[in-house]
Amino acid sequence: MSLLEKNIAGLTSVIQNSIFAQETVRKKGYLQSLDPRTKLICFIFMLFAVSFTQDLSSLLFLYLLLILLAFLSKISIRYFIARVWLFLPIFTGIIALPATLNIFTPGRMVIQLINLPSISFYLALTDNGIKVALFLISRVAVSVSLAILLIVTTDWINLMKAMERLHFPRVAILISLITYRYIFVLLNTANNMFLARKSRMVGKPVGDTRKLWLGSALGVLFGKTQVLSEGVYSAMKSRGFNNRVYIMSDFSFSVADFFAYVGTFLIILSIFIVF
Amino acid sequence: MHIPDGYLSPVSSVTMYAVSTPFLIKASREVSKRLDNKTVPVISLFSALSFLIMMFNIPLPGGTTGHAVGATIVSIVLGPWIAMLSVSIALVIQALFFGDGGILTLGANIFNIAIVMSLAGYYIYRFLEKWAKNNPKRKIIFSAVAGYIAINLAALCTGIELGLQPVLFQNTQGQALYFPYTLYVSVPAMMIGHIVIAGLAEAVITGLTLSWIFRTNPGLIMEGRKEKSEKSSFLKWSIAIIGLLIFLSPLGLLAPGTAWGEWGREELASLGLGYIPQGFDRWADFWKAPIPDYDLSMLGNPAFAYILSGFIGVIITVGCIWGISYLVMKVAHIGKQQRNISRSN
Repeated sequence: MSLLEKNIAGLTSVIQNSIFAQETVRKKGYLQSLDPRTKLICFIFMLFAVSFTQDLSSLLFLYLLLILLAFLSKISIRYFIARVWLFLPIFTGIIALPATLNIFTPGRMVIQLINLPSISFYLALTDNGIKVALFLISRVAVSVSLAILLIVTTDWINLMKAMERLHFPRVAILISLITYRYIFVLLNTANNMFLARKSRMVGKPVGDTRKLWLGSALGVLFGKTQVLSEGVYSAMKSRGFNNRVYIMSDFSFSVADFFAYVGTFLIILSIFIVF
Repeated sequence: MHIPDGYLSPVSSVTMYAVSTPFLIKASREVSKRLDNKTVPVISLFSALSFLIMMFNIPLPGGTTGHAVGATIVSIVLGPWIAMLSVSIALVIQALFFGDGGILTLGANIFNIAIVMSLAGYYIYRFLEKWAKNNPKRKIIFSAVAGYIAINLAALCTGIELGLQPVLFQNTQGQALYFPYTLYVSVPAMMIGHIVIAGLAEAVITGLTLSWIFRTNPGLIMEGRKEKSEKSSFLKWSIAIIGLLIFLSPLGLLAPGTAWGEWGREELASLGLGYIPQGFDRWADFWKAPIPDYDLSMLGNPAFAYILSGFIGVIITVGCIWGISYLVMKVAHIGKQQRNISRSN
């Protein structure tokens, strides 16, 4: 794939992903029905629990629970599992793999891979090594799955509003909301620039032209961003923006939220007591 | 370079949040001082741009492509504080909306990518710029160098944070609970990828974008007209840090034993050497310190005495350095004047 195509594909997939997330947010499942504040608080507690636990089976238990939650929230299980396990082995898997060997993690030998007695060198999988690698992989998998559950069942705007209700700094929230909007504007602009370039190209680019072109593209984007920010500023000012931030939200606490808190509490308790 | 959740222990994650927060507070103060009402739209738009830059595939020598962060070019053009905030917001959105990079590890990612890169990129470029002498070609090369070094510094910080995990956090059987490799593996592993690929990507993107800006839109560059207060604020920060160190100095009382190689006669004997070297014995009492063992015992409180003796020590040291450099400058100045006189004669 040429560089231009790579970039077009990359930028388009971001838009695609976010449209997909929008679709699942609108489904009427269990997690979608919860108050975003509840989801955020329970999510952070669960994340800490995943981070603190020292037991592998508790991580497996949590993962199965998350799959159940995904099912209850009408998220395609195939998507939920694939989104984690398609990419995880490429990054964390490669990092974790050498840790199973005796040179990095000494321990009881499980399988011997190479044995060169003449130079007294051997390579083997160790019990400690396998455990250490499993810890890393499963912790990352469960954390990422948790984040995906939050992301695909909560609107970005509602998530930000929930953060504001929980006393995160308002200005940061406002900036994040505007940023999110303009990410897509700039994505579109950049994508159009790439497409325009692609449609005018015959044959392969010669020499350093593609690098130079990318530099100019970024420079142009820099300039456009500057102009846009001036425009947004004028628009805000003309609508009476005086540096004070108000964010409206109409969240309400329901019985389902109460059960979500109790459930989270019980799960965390069971992780640290049962396992 | 984004650290996912699960690689860092919760303790390190929270620590990195605590480390990043003061930088972000300082940055938002600096930015709102300069931009006033424009802060919100400018930061929002440039956060969106940094998000976009992180997505780009950048062509590298040898036909491969790599990803850059883009923090260096933003900090050269708009200043380190705007860059720091923009990249931080971009990282927050990446983590919270796209699941790229962890949420507990966000503090660490903000520190490595937003804070270290913006500050390093900006100050390295400013430092090198002196030799550019307004030659745009040199400036472009220096900006690329700054980008290359900045992203590698960020990778170094990431490597160190990861490499500390197995040393600090193990279960009762001594197995690593989080990232499994120590510094000897984590730092080189992080560095190789950045020295070879990501560093070049950052250098390419920084240099090319700056060259375009010089050629077509030099008005974009907000930085470069250095504010006068910068130097004095640097001095203020250094004084604050030295002050903090003085106040933390009673921690030394908690440490058992003496610094390696700073033994007194009794300690040397207790090391099991069996004898005291003759020369040591002869010279040991040659110099009686005015404040032996940092102990102003007449003050009663040992911690206070420790701080006070630290303070006196700092004043004496700074005084000596100032005195010596004053003398050196004076001598150099006189020498220069004499040379000038002899030349004019």
